[in-house]
Amino acid sequence: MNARNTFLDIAYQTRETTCLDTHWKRCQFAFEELGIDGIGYGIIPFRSEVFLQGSSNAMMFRHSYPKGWADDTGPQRLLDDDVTIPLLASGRDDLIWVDTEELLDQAEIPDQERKRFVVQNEIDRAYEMNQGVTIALDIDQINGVTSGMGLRNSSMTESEFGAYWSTHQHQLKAICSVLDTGIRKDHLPSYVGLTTTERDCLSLAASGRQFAEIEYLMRLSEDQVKKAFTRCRRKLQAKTRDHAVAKALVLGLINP
Amino acid sequence: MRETAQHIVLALSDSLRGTTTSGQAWTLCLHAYEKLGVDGIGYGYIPLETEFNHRTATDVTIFRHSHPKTWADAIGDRDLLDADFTLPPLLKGESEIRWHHEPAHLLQAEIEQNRTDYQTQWEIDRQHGMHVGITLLLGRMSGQNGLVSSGIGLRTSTIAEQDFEKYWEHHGDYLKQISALLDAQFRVQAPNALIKLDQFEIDCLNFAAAGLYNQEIAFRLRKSEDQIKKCFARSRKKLSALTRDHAVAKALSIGLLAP
Repeated sequence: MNARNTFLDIAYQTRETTCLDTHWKRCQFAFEELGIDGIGYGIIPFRSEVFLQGSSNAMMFRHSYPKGWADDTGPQRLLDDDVTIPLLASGRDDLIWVDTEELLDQAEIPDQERKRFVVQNEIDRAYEMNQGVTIALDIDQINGVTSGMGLRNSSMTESEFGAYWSTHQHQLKAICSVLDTGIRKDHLPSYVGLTTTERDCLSLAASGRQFAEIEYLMRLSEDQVKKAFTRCRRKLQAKTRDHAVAKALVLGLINP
Repeated sequence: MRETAQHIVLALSDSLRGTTTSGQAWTLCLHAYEKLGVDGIGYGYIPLETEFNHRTATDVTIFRHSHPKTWADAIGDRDLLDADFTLPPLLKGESEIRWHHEPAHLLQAEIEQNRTDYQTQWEIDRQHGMHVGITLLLGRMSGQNGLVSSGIGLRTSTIAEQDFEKYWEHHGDYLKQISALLDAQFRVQAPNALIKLDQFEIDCLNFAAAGLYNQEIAFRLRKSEDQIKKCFARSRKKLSALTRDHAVAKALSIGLLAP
């Protein structure tokens, strides 16, 4: 099957998908047909957060990379030492993973901090994640929501990947944008996974209600409301309640 | 007359592009209105729709006016819009509400219980030369049927009640154009102009929205924690917000923060 057909198929199929996992799997399958054997997708609600809180906190990430890689990097800090993320957040388009030294220069990482990037790079190499590309998908200038993808290929050499990328990049980008628009347009609530209770709590907090009022309006106990906010913070990867409210607003999960 | 009115609108649109201070933009708009016979305006917009459930109209609206000070004093700064009889029809989606009609004609059944409030305010309006004018709907919050998000009241005290229709026929379109320019200026281009947060306050809110604790914000901005707390208190006041979440949410939806 040629690349164009793959793309058309996926575009038609995703129209009828109603669940996030199906959508994800179909896109993953389409990537595999073109030779990409691992994908990572992330949404950055606040670009400034990448520099303030680190890439892993700022990005809502989902991936199909080897489990060993995730375990070795540390599940809480998968992206902290990924040099492509700050570059992506500051407006770069495609970043081929091949030449780390050059990327570090571009990201203006000081010499004393480079060690952790080198370690990450070695982990990446150990799990054959050295061939790949990071793509900036969409930068919403109004709301500031940004998303990006990483595509991995484990079987090619450096020069092969360069040639592969220059012939296939348009098809790959097309599938990326199918995945991205699908998630952001239709599946964002399930991507974040807030329940209706959690959404209501956030929405009430955004409109200036005190805790006691939220308890009364939602007919919940103080403890339940507190727990709901804790779950919101965890699901939205937020440190404070302000943070959770702000993220939910920017992602459009609650209405202004 | 028609050409000059058109010129006034074009000149305003040109000069707004070159404005650097918010006060200047407001004065430019006022001048343009004055040339067309409007001698007082009150502009307001609602950044957060959900607030309306539990707060008064004055609390949720970001409002600025150039009506006589005595008028504002007579009503009280905290309730300027609460008993404004043009607001309920405006929120229902009526696009032009004339001030010289008896309020009773316009009031809907659900505000029956505070009819006297509306009546009192209407009388105060009359005493301060605000009996002739019009309230216009400018923008809507969410799509065609959403809640109104901005509106403007134009006072034309020099025009007699019976001449108003004729006046509006001549100038209505131009006044609407000026109002649209003003709305874009204060809601989209320079939203901070009406709220007047300073850079320190914006920085604090930005950091709060990005999930930093007070302590961390204090460290980053080289201030004491106390100063940060006071800064949030000021921001809350300027945004008329009840809690810090609320202030962050409001500042975000107004577009004051850079996510």
